[in-house]
Order: sequence, then structure tokens, then C-alpha cells
Amino acid sequence: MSVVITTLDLAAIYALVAIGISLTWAGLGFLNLADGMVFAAAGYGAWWTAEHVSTNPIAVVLAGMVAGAAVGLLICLVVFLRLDGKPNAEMRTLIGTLALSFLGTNVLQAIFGPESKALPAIFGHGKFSLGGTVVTADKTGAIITATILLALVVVLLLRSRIGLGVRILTQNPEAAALVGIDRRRLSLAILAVSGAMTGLASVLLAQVFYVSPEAGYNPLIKGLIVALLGGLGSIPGTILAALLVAATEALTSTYLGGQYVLITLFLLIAIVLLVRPRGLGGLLEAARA
Amino acid sequence: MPKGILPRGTIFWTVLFLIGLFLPLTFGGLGFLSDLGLFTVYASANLMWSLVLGTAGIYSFATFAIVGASGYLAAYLSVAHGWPWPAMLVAGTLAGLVLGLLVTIPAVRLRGVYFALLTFGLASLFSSYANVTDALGGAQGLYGADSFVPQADVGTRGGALIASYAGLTLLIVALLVHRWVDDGRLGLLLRTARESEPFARALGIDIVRARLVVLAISSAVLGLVGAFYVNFYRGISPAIFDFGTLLLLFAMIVVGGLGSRRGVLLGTAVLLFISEAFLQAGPVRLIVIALLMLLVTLFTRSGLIGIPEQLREWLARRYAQRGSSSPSPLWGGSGRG
Amino acid sequence: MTAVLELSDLSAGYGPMQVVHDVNLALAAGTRVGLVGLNGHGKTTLLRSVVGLVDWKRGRVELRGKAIGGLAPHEVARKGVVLIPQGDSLFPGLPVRDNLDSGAFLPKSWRQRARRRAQVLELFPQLANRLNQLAGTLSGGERRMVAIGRGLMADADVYLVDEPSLGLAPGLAAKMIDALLSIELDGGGMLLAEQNRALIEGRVDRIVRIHGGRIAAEE
Repeated sequence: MSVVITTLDLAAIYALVAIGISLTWAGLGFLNLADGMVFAAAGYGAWWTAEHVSTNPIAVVLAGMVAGAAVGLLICLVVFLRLDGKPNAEMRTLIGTLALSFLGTNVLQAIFGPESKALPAIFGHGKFSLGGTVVTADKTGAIITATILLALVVVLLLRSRIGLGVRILTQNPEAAALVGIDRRRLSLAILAVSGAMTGLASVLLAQVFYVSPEAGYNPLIKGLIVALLGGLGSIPGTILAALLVAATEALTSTYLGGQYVLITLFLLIAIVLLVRPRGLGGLLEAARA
Repeated sequence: MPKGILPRGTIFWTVLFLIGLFLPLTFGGLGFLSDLGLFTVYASANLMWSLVLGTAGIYSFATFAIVGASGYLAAYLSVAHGWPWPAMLVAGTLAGLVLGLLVTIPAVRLRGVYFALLTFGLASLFSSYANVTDALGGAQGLYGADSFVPQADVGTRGGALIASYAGLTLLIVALLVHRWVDDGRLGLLLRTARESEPFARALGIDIVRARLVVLAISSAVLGLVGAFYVNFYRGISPAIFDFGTLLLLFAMIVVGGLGSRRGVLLGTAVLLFISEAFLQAGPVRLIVIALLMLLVTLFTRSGLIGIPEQLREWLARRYAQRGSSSPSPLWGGSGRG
Repeated sequence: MTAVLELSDLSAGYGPMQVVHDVNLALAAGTRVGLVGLNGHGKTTLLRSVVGLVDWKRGRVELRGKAIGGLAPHEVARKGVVLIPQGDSLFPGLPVRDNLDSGAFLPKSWRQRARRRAQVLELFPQLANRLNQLAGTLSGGERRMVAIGRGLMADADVYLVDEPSLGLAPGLAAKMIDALLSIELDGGGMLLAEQNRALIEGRVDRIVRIHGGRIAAEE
């Protein structure tokens, strides 16, 4: 049972990060390697707010999301929009996000120092018993909050005009322009929302681990893995992939030990990609039709 | 001498060779010589990486994973089985070759982005494995390997000179291999395939085979680099798989200019210099490196080495615009600044 | 009569390759002009260069007297010039409803989308029970209907239609032309590129022939 809770908890966090990466890739054509830095920066934004403004949980969460969105916008303006349309844009954007990530992480370290910071417990300290395991408030809170935000994002994508714009962009960028979609304007929205989601993930994860400049590295790798396994651009695929990756990690940690997680994840990736080189995305559409 | 009689760059490379020949002798310091050794290791690895990433357009980040794994094999054979250094070099090269071939299998089936992820993970995987395996020295690493630097000369100027010249030899090998592939038919095939796969296929180019060959060749040299590394330091540790090193290497080829031999050398030299110069400055060191990487990516088309040409084209465009009478209604694409 | 769309000395192409040469064409308000010519003679390139998908070397395009040269395709769409592209260019992973609605993406059209969708369904009743089906799974004729429908959702000023009969059986092709000709122009205009001259002969207000990238004759 504890494996199930851990799986859901991790899946929630990974899904939040992965969907942003997935949409950025599918809609704009680049892998946002700076998302790890966004993660860390959002954590610091939340921490700073907790230290200097208010420890109210809502304020802390919002601060994290706003910081994440702001850094996301920064990435859009400095790297993507600057290089869009230039020679070698694809490679340069990839490298640019990497460089920005590198830069941001070290600037954070220079400003805040290398020691990790703790965030106030947002969901309180309660716990309850479920199926023989003790479930802590932070995990429950993380699962519920992430699910709410994910649901909101999905509704936005499916029902709103902007959501349609993003979906169209991921399908056929030329036809999208023909119906009046301004890709550059939409890129701001995509990266801001992606940043906000990553920001929430950061605040949620920081309930268990700490805020530090390097905190985003692991979530970025996991987010990339989930996004790629899920099939870039497919939300259902990404969520499924998040559950798979989280389950693998949870099971491995519990029964084999933490140091084997990378190996089992590697195996998972190899198996999935061997069977479906384009990720899990198409699987669900095929099942639906 | 009229231009065009000698192959392009002959003078440049001759001068560089002569500098390389006399540099170790004139700049005596052990510190400098050890940096020079590191430079040759990094530059050689980067040249091979540039073949894979630049010429062939394969998004592989397995460079130091291969270097490290081959190095580990060479070190293990020497420490556990007493293999002498020439055998180590051969073993390393072969290990690199085999790894390179193994890496090609997923490369063929996976799309670029997915493959990149896999290669990223390779280094982590090897690192984990090395850390937990006692036969490989665990977290401390493996030490006591044989080397072309005789045991008696370790730590002396003589020893350092041997190491430097050995390193320069390695670098020359890497440069020659790069030139052989890039300037030759294989390079042409790979570049065509990179630009447009359907077009290349229509021309009858066996893309899979071309990629296999370039991965095999570059990985073999990377294996040799790994064996050299072990010779320099008489050992190896999991630190070789560090993500930070990979990033530094990436910064080197990005800043210098992917795909150009001079670019790789320039980038490696510049970044190694900055890295060493700022070694005591803490996070500032990485900030400077990252900033340089960002600025070069944002403002240059193909790294520092491409700046003269970029400048020339920009100036030519400026003068052309001033001279022309009719306004050009180009809305974007190549026209946008 | 004022021209709603006017092309003057338009020369356009791909990189160093020029496809369209010195085209002069005026589309009078409220009229439909057929652009005929063999494949590869510049019909598609001409339409694409009007909306900004192909680079120009020279020339001018004016929409109701205002120059629209140099605008990005999405800006041209915002000005009310809609291209119904050759080969449909749909969004295959999205249902038909979303494909249609995308045509009404612009804010002022978005509010009207239910009404316009109903109009499109009047024109193409076959689409009524396909609204939830993924566009990529439709037949050729149905895809064409969605492409045309998407164009109509914008209630454009100028419609540029590229080869509506392409790949369709004669009966279906004729139906598409019928549908296009039945659209209310409301003072706007339609430029219809069509390889099969017989389909539009006598049914449009004017036919212009393009050959080798140049306008051969106006009839």
C-alpha cells in the first residue's frame, strides 16, 4: 500500500513537470532543458516568500507557481524568441536552454548559498491510516493538489480558445498560422504555464526534500523520461508514463534499494522504446477508436 | 606563394604543430604540463564528439561514458592482470569500438531526442555500476595501472614531458581521424543525410551504414582517449562520469564551434583556461562558463570560430541594402536579423 | 469597381528558385476569379506568397488598398485573407469539431463559432455525425469538406482556394466546387486555383491562366 501512495505522489510531481516539457516540445519544437532550473528557482521563490512575506500555505504555493511562471517567461524571451527563425535554431535553442539552466543554477547558488532550505509544511502534519500504512499529509496534499492543477490544465487545453490554439500548434504549425495563430505569442503562454506547473511540483517536492540549487536536476531527468516515454505532445500518454516511471521507482526503492533505481528505470525505458519507439501516446488513441 | 597551391590551412596547422612541439619544452611548469595533458585528452574527445554530433548530426552524449568505460577496462586489465601500457591502449581502443557499435543499435531505431536521453543515461548507469562494484575499486576508483610514464619519472619534469608529448600525439591522431572522416567521402555522405534523409536515401546513400561507421570510428578513438587518461593518472575513478565534466566538454564544443577542428581546439582551450583560472572562485567559475556558452549560442551562428565569416556576411548584407534602390519585401526567414 | 485584392508585379519563389514572375492580378469586390494552369506552373506558389508562406523577391499585394506585403501568415489571416490549402493540411489528431472550430480561432469569430459550424454542416451534412471523429481517419472527400469548412468558419474577406478538386472523383469534385460557389461573398472575393478548367468554366466571373509562373491571358 505504501508503494501505491509513493507511486501516486511521485507520479503527480513528475506529471506536472513532464507535461510542460511535452507541450513545449510538441508546440514549439524544443526540449526545455532549463526546466530543472525553473524547478529550483520556484523553490527559492516559495522559500523567500515564506521567510519574508507570509507562511500561509496558499501564499507559499502561489509564490512558487508565480516564480516558476516568471522564469519560464524568461526562458521564452531570452532563448526561444531570440533564436526563432535564425540559422541552426533547433540546436541553438537546445544549447541555449542548457546554458541558461547552468547559469541560473549557479546564480541561485551564489545568491542563496549551497545549503538547502526548508519550506514550511503546507498541508500540516496530520496523518491517517490506510490499508495498513501510515499516510502523511504531505503526500496526500501533493497528490490532491497536483491532480487539481493537472485537471485544470487539461480542461483549459480541451475547452478554451487558447487551449485549442496550443493543441493545433502541436499538430500542424503551418495550418495553425493560416488560421491566425501567433506562435510567438502562444509560446509565452506555453512556457509560463509550464513554469507554473513546474513551480507547483517544486513546492510539493520540497515538502519532503529541501530547496537547493541542485534540486531541479533529478526532477528534470525524470520529467524528460516521462515526457519522452509518454510520447511528446500526448497528455494521456504522459500521465500514463508518469505512473509507470513512478511505480518503477517506488517498487525498486522498496524492494531492491534506492541505488538500483537508475538501472531499473533504464530497463523500463529500453523496453518501452523497443516496443513503441514513439512513446506510449498512440496507444491510448488506438484503444479509444 | 599564390593562394591555393597548398591545401587550405597548411600554414596554420604547420605553425600550430611547431608550437605544440616546442611549447612543453619552453613552459616548464608541472602545472602547465598537466593542464596541457588534460587539454589533449579533452580536445581529442571533443573532436570525436564533433564528428558524431556535428558532422553526422547524431544527438549522442555518450562521449565520456565511452571514454570512462574504456578507461576502466584498461585500468582493470592492468591492475588486476598486469597488462602493460601498450596492451592497455589497444584494449581501450577495442572497448571503445565495441561500445560504439552497441550504441548504434538503439541509434538506428530511436528518434534523435530519445537517443540523446539514452546516451545521457549511459554515463549515470556506468557511474552507478562502477560505484557499487568492488573489482572496479568502488567509489574510490582503480589505481596502480601501468603507464608510458615510467614509475620512476612520476612527478618529475621528465615524466611530465613524456606525458605531454604522448598527449600531443593522441591529439594529432584525433585530428587526423577527424580530417579523414569529415573531409572525406564519409563526411559528405553524413552531411547529406543530416540535411535531408529522404534526399540522401534517394541518392542511394546507406545512411545506417554511414552512421554505424562514424560511431564505430569515433568510439574507437574515444576508447583510446580513455586508455590514455588512465596512463596519465595511473588510474581512474567514477568521477570521470560526472555530469559536470560532460557539461564542460559540451560548453567547449559549443563555444568553439561544432564541426570545425579549429573551433573544437579553440573552444577546448578557452574553456579549459577559464575553468582553471577561476578554480578558486567557487560558483563564479561556472557562472562565467555558462554565460559565455549562452552568449555564444545566442549571438553566433556557429561558435566563436565562425565569427569572422558571420561578420563578413553581415557587413556584406549591410552594404547591399544601402546600395539597392528597390525595397525588399522579404518578411522573415533568412531576412530576420 | 474597387479591387478587394490586388497583386502588382509579384515575383516570388523558394530561395534562389523563382517560381512566380511579375504577376499582375486584380480581384474585384464580390467576384470569383478562377486561376487555371497546369501543375507546377505556379498556382500554389502564387496563393502561398499572398499569405506570406513563400518569400517574395519583388512586388506588392494590396488588400482593399492597404499593402499586406511583409506580413507573417498569421497576420494576413487576421486581416481576413484565408487560404484553404492544397491537400487540406488538417489537424489529424483532433476531432472534426476542433478542426472546424480552429477556423474561427480569431476572437471575433470565436463567439460565432456554433452558428458558423451549423452553416458549414448545412453545406456538408455528411460531417454532422463525424464531428467527434479524428480528422486523420476521414476519407479524402470528407477531409476536403473539413478543409473548406474550416476556411468558411473564418467568414473571410478574401478566400484563396488551392485545388479543391485534387484527388477527388469527378462527382465529389463537382460537389466541392458547387459548395464553394454557393458561399456568400458579401463584397469580398474568391481566388480559386483549379487545374481542371472544365469544373469552373462559365461558373466564375473571370478566368486567368498562369503558365510558367506568368499570367498568360485574361479572359
